[in-house]
Amino acid sequence: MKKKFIGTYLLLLFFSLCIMIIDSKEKIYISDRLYNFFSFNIRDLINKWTRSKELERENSELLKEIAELSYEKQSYQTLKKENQKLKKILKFQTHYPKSIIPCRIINRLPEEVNVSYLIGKGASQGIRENAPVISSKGVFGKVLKIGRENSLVSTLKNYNVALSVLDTRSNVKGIFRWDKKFYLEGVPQYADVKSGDTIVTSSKGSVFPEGLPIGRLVRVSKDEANYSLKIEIEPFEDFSDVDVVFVIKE
Amino acid sequence: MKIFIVIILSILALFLSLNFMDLLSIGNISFKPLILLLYFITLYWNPWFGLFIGFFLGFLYGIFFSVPIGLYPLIFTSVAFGLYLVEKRIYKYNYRSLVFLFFVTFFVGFVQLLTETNQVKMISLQLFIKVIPESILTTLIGLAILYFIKKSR
Repeated sequence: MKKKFIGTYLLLLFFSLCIMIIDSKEKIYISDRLYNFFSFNIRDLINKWTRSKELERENSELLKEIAELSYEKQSYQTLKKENQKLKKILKFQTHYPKSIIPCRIINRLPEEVNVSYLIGKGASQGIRENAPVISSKGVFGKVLKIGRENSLVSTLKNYNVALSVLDTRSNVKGIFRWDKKFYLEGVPQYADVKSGDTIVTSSKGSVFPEGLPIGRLVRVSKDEANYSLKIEIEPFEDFSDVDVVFVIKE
Repeated sequence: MKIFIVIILSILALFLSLNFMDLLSIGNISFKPLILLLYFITLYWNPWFGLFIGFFLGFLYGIFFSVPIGLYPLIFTSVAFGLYLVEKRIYKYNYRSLVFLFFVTFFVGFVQLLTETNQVKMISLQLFIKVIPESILTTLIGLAILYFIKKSR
């Protein structure tokens, strides 16, 4: 048993010496390959695993940050928009000479889109029935009903609200009215009107003061039945994105 | 069955030496799992396993650690042979037998040092700051293993 063991030991010793001699004479490149395969692959695997955990955590933190930033961006944009609107209103208020009452729109009445609005001022602030209402872009509508602290305003998108207007270029007069679209009625066929002309309120109306901008003439066609022109108007105000309006006192 | 356990243990010890020693080390001092395995297999299990495992582990050690191939099979088989010679003369379940583990670790560390550097000053310095502390650490772990071996008897 002991002899066998010694014999085996000597044999293994001999092999070891042979390997050493071969290795010293010629580099065994297989050793590098094996080393790289086992050692680096395992290390890489461990590194990748720990890195993926780290990335997962980082990713969730970044997602949270993105959500916060997008919320901040949204509120910043809202503030920016509001600021621009307020600037416009301020500019308008200093520019407009008449006595006007700024009113915040507090509610939109649901019966029809952009037809009636409730404003936060009423009789106690000096608002009277049928008073003209304007916005920073032009004519907005008129006061329909008044309460003590709030009033109902009808926009121009109402068939019953008609305005006497004129073409600023040719002084052609007509009636501005909503009939599923905005039209200029009562203009004779020979009248000098062109698309692009600006329409403002005329002095003939009893409600609106003279010279308030209303809109731009977009299409002119002949209405053979009435021997008049069918003129389509695009108002400056779109009635959907308004927060503050002005009621003209006198 | 026994041979499979030995092979698995050898692979584990080799992987431990290759990949996790920097995690398990204290400063630059780490224990020697291959020597521990060789020591306990030869002395407490079967010296034949120790001889062959010593040869193959030494060969693989040479490959993975880019040290002269052939040197470590020589050292490890010699260690196994040495342990086989003393096995009959000592009471291996006594904690004092661990002095051999210390010497084996020291011997392997010293040879390793000789292959790495040829400056005498460096060798003497490394001997005190690395080889001896590593031998002590390995012996302490061997102590724990021996405790469990004794308990399981």
